[in-house]
Amino acid sequence: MKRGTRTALVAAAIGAMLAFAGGAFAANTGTVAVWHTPMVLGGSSSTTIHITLPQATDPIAAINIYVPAGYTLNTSQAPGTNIGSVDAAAFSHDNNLTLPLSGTVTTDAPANHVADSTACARTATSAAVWILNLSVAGQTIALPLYVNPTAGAEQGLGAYKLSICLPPPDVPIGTPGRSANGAQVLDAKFTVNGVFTTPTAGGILRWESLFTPYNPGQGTVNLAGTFETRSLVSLPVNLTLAATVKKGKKTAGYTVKGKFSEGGVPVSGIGVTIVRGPSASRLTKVASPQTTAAGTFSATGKVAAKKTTYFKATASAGQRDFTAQGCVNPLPATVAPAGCVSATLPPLSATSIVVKVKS
Amino acid sequence: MTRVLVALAAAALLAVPAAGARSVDTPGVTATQIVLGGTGPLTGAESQYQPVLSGAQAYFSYVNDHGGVLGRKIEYKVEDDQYDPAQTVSLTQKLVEQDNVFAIFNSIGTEHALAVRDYLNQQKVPQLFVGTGAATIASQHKQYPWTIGLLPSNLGEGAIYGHQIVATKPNAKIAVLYENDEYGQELLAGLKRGLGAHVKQIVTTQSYALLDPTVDSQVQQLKASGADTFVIFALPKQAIQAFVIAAKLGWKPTEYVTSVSIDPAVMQIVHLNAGAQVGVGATSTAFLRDPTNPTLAGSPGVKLYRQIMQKYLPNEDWKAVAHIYGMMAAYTMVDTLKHAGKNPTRASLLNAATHLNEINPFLLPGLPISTSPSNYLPLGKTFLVRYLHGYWNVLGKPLKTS
Repeated sequence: MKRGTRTALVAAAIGAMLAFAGGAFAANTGTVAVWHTPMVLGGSSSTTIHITLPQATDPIAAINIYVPAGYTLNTSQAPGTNIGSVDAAAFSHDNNLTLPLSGTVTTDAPANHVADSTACARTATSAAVWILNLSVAGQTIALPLYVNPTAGAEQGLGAYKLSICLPPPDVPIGTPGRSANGAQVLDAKFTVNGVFTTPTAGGILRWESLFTPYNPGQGTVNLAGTFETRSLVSLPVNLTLAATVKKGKKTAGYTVKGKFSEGGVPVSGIGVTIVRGPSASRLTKVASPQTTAAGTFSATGKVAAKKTTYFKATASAGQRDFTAQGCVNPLPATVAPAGCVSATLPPLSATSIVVKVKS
Repeated sequence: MTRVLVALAAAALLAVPAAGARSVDTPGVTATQIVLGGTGPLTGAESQYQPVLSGAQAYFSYVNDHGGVLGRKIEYKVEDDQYDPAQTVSLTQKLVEQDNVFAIFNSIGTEHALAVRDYLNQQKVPQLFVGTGAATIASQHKQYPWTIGLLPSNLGEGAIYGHQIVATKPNAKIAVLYENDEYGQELLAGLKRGLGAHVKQIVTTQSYALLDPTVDSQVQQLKASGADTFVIFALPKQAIQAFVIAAKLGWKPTEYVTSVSIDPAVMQIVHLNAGAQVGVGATSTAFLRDPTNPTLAGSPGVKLYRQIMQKYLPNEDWKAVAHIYGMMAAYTMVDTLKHAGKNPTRASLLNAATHLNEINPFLLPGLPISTSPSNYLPLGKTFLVRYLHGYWNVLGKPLKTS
């Protein structure tokens, strides 16, 4: 996985894969989840990309992640700039152990990566090269990620392409180009800051990813095994809140209502925490309703009369499997011969505005 | 921050042949620069030791940016021997004869140090602060006065575990996994010495060779002995395997593990592969400040370490103890250079190196660096530590290793 590591033309692949329509494929799978912090429109904040690959999936030779149209990328950072962090796990075939890896994400000069960029991203000079510095116990693997605008047929998949190529981990020890320690990536989550600006128009944004595996134990690329995964990023994420009171002599009844949505679509079955208090900074939990199928929620209660009360709602959801609905209309077999294997909805976290009422 | 014995300034330095003399004649020393050399595995299978060298390099950069040593900047030339003693020999000769280094510093590996010891002593080139606790380095200083190690003695470390077992579990049935070389054998010998009359409680031992792919069969046999105490004298890879395999076999002995295998990543990997409770309560020894331990985060040594890592090695793993080890060694080297005089010679450097009495900020408090012409073990004390709450926690007072 060192720089310049061989990659066997893989990612290249879209064109070449046209020849492999309908090829046989094993039960390989993986996921990509993408999210932003915060999940807003037109924002330039942090973006996290989380890749998971079961150990039973054939070792992966190349990953190409397509950034949907509407995003803009800032690739103007000087070489050596720290733009984020990475956490990963890899299974070491040599040690029969899973290794935790972590480190920084830094930029490098594309001119330093002509050969490896050509092999992995099919362009001698990538628009940007990010280095995922994966460390454990003082050893660091510098894994390049190539960033390029798409061209030609690939533009249908996204406006930009992020390409990572990995060396084979399961070929005999001593084989040139074998990954260090026979490391097979199982999980990689990296966050970059100030690079992506989200689109200004709301809706569901489909991040397509193509994974191309190796033929197990051979170190040769299995183009026919290329499979598709999708991460469906819905923007913006909104959590609304409104409160009303029914005034009484000693106490007042209140009702708070709101709606949780992503990309204008209701988020259902999610727990919402409602807090209230005498000031915006002194709030305690008073209710935790679930969102309905329409994404709505409500809660009622009583407060003392003639007081000002503040309310706020928070809600969060973990990464969600969305394969059944999200893999409808997969990419053609000429592009992803092994089909669409997963679709995910990213983790969500939202906080409403603070509302105040007088009872 | 550091100091040599007061007597050094008065007596010892006066005895230095070249003190105050022509530095122009001293290899590796100019009016503006001191050139040091070192070897180690920058690449290859043992490159996990590379941070020992880069940590030292980073500390020298920090010192250089703060004026250097008595006005001279340190250049540290490191050659990649790929952990092959044959390459260590040729590269050390190159450093001495072509690069004209002032001294060899912080070279990695016991066998590697021994491979060049004769040569360096014949040439009267200081071979300073070798990263080893081997008895052969510390005890043969009369024959090899130009060679000084740095790590606590392996024998002493082993003896500490023996004493601890006798004190805390006098009826222990002990199983030992050890590396079948000088390093493992010295630890085992020390353990026996520490057990004293209890030595018969070692019910079984199993060794492994450095290139063995696993220690599975050894651990299975150790478990089968019925032992309730498991002493792991193994390098990190094999120590991790030993913890994991023991857990998978359902063996839950009282565990001891040698100090070279307590990098935070070791337990992190153990937990990822065998569960969060595995290894909890294990005992070891430690002399370095663990930069990941939150109770040490506010100490000046850890703060300085993080500052240097951030500035000079921003993309390397600050959690790796090997980096702070390298800085600790470099700190001692700088201290030694400072006390070698304004116009240092190799003789004055050796003299300073054998009169150290230093408080090193990267070491745990209470562990001085101390040498004399008859004491070539700079780190004569260490702490017992126990793995609890996610960190190695210091137990009690410093213990002698010499």
